[in-house]
Amino acid sequence: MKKVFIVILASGIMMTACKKEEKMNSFTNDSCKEKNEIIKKDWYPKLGIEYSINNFMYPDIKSLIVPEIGEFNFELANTVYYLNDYSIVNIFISCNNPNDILIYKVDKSNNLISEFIISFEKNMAYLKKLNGEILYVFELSNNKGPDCNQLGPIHNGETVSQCIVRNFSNFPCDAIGTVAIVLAPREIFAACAVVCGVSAIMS
Amino acid sequence: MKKTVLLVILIISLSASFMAGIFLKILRFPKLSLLFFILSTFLFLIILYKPFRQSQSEKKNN
Repeated sequence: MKKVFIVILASGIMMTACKKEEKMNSFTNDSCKEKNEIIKKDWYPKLGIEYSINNFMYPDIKSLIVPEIGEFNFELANTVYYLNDYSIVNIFISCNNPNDILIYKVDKSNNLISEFIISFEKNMAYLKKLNGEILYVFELSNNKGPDCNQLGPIHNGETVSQCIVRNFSNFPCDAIGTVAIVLAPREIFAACAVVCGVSAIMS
Repeated sequence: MKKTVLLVILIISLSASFMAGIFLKILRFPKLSLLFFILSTFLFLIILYKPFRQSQSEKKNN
C-alpha cells in the first residue's frame, strides 16, 4: 500500500513539473501578444511594435545609467517611472529579440517625447535610436576583470578615448599581458591609442 | 666598435619585437603576440650576455 502511495506521489510531482515547463515554453512563444493586450495603453499603438515583459536574457544586470534618461533597474522592467518633470518612462523587452530593451518617455499628457533601444551584446550595451543609429556604448558593470575578448579596434558608436580605456583596461587579461603592462605601461597605452586612432580613421 | 653596432641592432630589434607583441595582442592574435614576446625575451637575454658588455679594460682604453 505504501509503495503504491509513493508511486502515485512521485507521478504527481512529475506531472506538475512537466506542466510548469510547458508553461515556461509557451510563455516565450505565445504570450507576447497576450501580455501586450494587458499592458496596452492609448499611446502604445502609436509605436507600432509589439513587446513583451519579463523574459530578459541578462538576469545578472541589475541596472544601467542612460545619460539621456537616468538610471534603470531591470528587475522592475515594464514598470512605469515617474520623473521629476512629470514625464513617464516605460521599459519593454522585445518579443523578437530578448536582448533588446525599448525605452519610451512620454509627457504627462501621453505625448511621446523620446524612444530608445538598448541592445545587449556580450559585456556591452548599445543605446540606439529606433532607426539603429548608435548614441552611446556602455561597458556593463558586471564585467569580472579584464577580458581578452574585449580587446580590439574601435566599435561602432564608441569614441577613441573609450576605445583606448577599454583596450588598456583589458590588456592584463593573461599572465603575458600583466607582465607587459608592468614593464611598459606607457608603450601599451601608446599602442592602444594608435590602434584606436587608426581604426577610427579607417572606419 | 662592432660590438656597439651589434648591441644597437639588438636593442632596436628588442623594442620592435616587444611593440609587435603588444600590437598583435591588442588586435587579438594571441599566438603571434606570444611568439614576439618570447623573441623579445631572448633578445633581452642576449643583450645581457656578458661578451656584449664592455669589460673594465675596454672602458679604460676608450
